[in-house]
Amino acid sequence: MATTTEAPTAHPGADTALDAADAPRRSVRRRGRPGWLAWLWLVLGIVYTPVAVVIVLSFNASRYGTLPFQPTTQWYAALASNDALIAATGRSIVLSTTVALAAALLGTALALWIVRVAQRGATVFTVLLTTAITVPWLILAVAMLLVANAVGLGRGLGLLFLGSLAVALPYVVLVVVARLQGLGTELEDAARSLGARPITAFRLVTLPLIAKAVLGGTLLAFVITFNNFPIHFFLAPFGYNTLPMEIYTFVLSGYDPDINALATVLIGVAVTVGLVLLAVARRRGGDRTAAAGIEEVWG
Amino acid sequence: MADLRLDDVWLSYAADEPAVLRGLSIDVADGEFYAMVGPSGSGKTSILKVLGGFLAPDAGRVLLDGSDVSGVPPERRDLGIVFQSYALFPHLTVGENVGFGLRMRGMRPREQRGEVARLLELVGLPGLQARYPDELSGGQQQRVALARALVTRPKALLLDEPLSALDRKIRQEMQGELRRIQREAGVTAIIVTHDQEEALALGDRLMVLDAGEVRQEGRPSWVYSHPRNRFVATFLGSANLLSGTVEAVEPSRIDLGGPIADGLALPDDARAGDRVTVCVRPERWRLAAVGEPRDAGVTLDATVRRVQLSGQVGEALLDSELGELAVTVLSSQVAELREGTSVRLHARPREIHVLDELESAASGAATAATGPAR
Repeated sequence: MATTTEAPTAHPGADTALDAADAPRRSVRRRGRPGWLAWLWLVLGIVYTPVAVVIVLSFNASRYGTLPFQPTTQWYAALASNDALIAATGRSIVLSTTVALAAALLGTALALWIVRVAQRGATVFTVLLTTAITVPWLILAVAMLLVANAVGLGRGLGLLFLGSLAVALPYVVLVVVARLQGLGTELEDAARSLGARPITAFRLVTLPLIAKAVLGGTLLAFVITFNNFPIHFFLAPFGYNTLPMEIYTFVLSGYDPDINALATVLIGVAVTVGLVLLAVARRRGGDRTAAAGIEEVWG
Repeated sequence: MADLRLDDVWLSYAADEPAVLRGLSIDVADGEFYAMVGPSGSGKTSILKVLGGFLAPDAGRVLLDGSDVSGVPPERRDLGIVFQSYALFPHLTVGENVGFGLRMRGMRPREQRGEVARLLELVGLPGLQARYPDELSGGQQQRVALARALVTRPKALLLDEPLSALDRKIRQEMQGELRRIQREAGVTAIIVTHDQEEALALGDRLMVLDAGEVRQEGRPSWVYSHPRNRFVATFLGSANLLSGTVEAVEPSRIDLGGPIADGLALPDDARAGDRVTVCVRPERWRLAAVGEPRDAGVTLDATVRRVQLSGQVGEALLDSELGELAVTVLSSQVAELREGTSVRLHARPREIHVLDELESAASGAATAATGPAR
């Protein structure tokens, strides 16, 4: 009591004293921050500088990326008439979407089987899948082509699809397995004790709760398939160039800035999709739904 | 509401593993609050899983309302279960969680509203329908789990260590709440716990479980004061266990290896020469002045080794001619008991219990009492 009544009169600077009491805590939190920030910017710089350069060059008139910067949209016009690039982009999107959807379905089913049915054998499968991820794609692609040739399958769309799926599937499985293991079966048991049949309990409880992981795994599968040049290069049928293959061909024969334009468009699409999904995920209650998976990938 | 029975249930998780439930039989009456207590690994949770239909016993029957429900899946057993982790659905609101059972019975959200509100009222959380589980405290989540389990008016309520995740103060408050809610809902309830205080406080009837077998069953106060064997005596509270030899049966006289215990009630089958164990709860000792004449029961001289105040009472450790003794004293007496103080301890015959398990003089083999006690 005595201190509270006396404080304002005895210490005219009570307010500043309070601030001072707050200050040490703030400074403790700030200590070492500039160093970490510099490090963070360095890392971001390494990733984003080339991206920024590509974007800038896509608007620069010079064919060889020389300065001074002269703004133009001519490369976008060139891109619009470059049928080969547009067709390759379309092929890549179709392939990646199909593979991602198949990986999502099969991967989730496989993850459920590993966690719920195999149980004790789960470790074996998880180890095998992790190992599969570490095999270099180039080696995997060559080996797959060898096997395909040996069994008389040869290059083809089917082989391209299977090869891409084989590479993407483990990612979905591992992400979903981790989520399922974290979830346990108690929630489903609870649903069943309340009268839900097994399939209903799965649909109403487990599925919404693993949706984040499934979506995250699906996006991962899409991106991996989209970028998987070695697999495309060795397994795609002749004449069926995916976007990475087409870009490779262009680069071999001489680099045109309309590829910069294409890169800028793709980056723009990715960022827009990411921001839209992030906005949905951030909405109140949204973080409880499937959209929140984006936060795990982008956020 | 219903009565619930397990009849000679055996369960093992794998063929090469020892059974976790070994011929277990329990009989829970309609409207009764039945507490099962045992150390971890004693099979408590397995019992609930068998009752709930999540595990099929290897042998034996599960009877609900007199009919065999073996083979009936969990969703058709009509039991309310409160899980140890509460198992609230994190993606659903409190209202949707509580209404889940009604939804499974085909009730539309609008029709559910009244029942959900009534149940939240019952558990003391009116108006929290729109919250999500992660916005609630542990105690509130516990109440929501109760409301969700009760909303379908189940035949019985199964509670798996429902209070273990709460801190001490809320736990004590929730014990009272659990009893109130169970009475108001008039539902048969089975609780499993490793916490003996919880079991003693909550149950109309108490069962002590160990290694998949019933060690003792009865009214909590009776089981506490009349443990049949060493396991029950030491698992429920603490106990001073003194070994002795029966010298005479009528009137009884037990030689504790020097000191004599007389006037005690002996197990029916005790004969002169049998080895018995005498149990004195720490709070049943009376501190007497040194030199006070001995009376019927047990009188021992002892020296204080250590006294520790813990709230309203103090726990004292004394050295006696029979070894270490634990004595609970009132906090007002703690000041009088210094280290090294000599005291005379006395326990009257009715404060002392002779365990049922005895070593017969004839066979020399220990006969542990098993089977349900009445």
